[in-house]
Amino acid sequence: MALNIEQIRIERDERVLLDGFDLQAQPGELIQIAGPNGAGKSTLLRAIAGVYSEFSGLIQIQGESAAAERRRRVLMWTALAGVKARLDARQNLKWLMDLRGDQGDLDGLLAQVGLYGWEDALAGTLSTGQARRIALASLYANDAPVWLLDEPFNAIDVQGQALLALRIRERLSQGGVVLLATHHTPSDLMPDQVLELGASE
Amino acid sequence: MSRLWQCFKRDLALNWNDLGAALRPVMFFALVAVSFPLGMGADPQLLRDVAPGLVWVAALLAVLLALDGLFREDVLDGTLEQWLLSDLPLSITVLMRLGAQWVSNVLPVVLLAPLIALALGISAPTAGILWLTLMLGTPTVLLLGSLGSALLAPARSGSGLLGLLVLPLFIPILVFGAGTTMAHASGIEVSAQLALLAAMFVGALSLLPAAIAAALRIVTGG
Repeated sequence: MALNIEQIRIERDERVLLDGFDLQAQPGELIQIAGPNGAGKSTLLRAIAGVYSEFSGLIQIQGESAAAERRRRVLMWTALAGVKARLDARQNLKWLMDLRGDQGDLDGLLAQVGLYGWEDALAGTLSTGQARRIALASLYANDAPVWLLDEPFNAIDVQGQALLALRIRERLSQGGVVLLATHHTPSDLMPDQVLELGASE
Repeated sequence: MSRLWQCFKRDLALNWNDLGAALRPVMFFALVAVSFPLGMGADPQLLRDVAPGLVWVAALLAVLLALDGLFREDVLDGTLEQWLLSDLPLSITVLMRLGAQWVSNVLPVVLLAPLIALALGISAPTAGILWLTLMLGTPTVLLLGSLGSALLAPARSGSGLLGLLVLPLFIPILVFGAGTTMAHASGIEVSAQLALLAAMFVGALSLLPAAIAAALRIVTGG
């Protein structure tokens, strides 16, 4: 079992977001987490990633439940991509990969996401979609067992979405688990499980 | 090791690319130091007497400027999240950030301070001691103040609060820093005071990164 969640209850700001939530995922599964804004999608991802601890219940990634062990086994991409406006595309990508301990050819990765020729442009001068493509490029160098992608298709054009979908399918075929917190998935991605949060309210 | 060096270099580059903000503390410091004699009148004896305290207070307030919003941008652009997830210990990443912040924002103040002191009439050896106390004292103050910056990181406008929160922590350093310089000016042996300042620095360096990391985890719900 790549990812095992049993009976978790998450509270935030004294509000119960999830109660008695279960999820089991095998390697290679794509899971979509849907639900209205504020239903707790991002908080759930952060709890799985091991950076949010206000929950009770069991979260295991490859059998490990300690937060520090989970942090080492996930890649998380939030609405905030961790891209600094004051650094250029190459520096940003290098830093993202460096923090995760990933290696790769920076310019090659940037070219792969359509940023050829923009390597030295400050991220602040790029469009929002291009800045997100920097973070997208870092996905190509990462092989964490579980990917937690929070609204990954935001602000990315159709071409970029296709690139991202392609990379997700590639990762799934390598045996990775991918969780997508999103309202809609592109038609070329078929989730194996769809979980609806906040449906009971 | 090379990954830490990368962290440090990146944080330096961040400050370098926004030189206006990085040089704000030293500009502020220079302005205070230069306008003081204008307000006090040009009595050389008076200026010589107040100079150590004046330089130290101005340097502390300059450090406070360097602390403002130290982690705010990292919360807003998702950097903090990536720090939390990295296998690099958060306390070490934080230490690299503070090191870069000290080099780019505070070091110019420390370098300018002896010149200001000389201009105010302090003798060269005493200006050297003043420089030493600042070299030891400003990193300590930066470390102490960062704890406040970390706790206020998600607050959009925490500047006023930051001063209230961290200035009391600065007082011992201020007392020792300015006191050491004044003692030296009146011919007293100051190696004991310098050793104490060094001890405070080493204590802060070893304990505070972990505390700052814990504060950052708390404010992000970890």
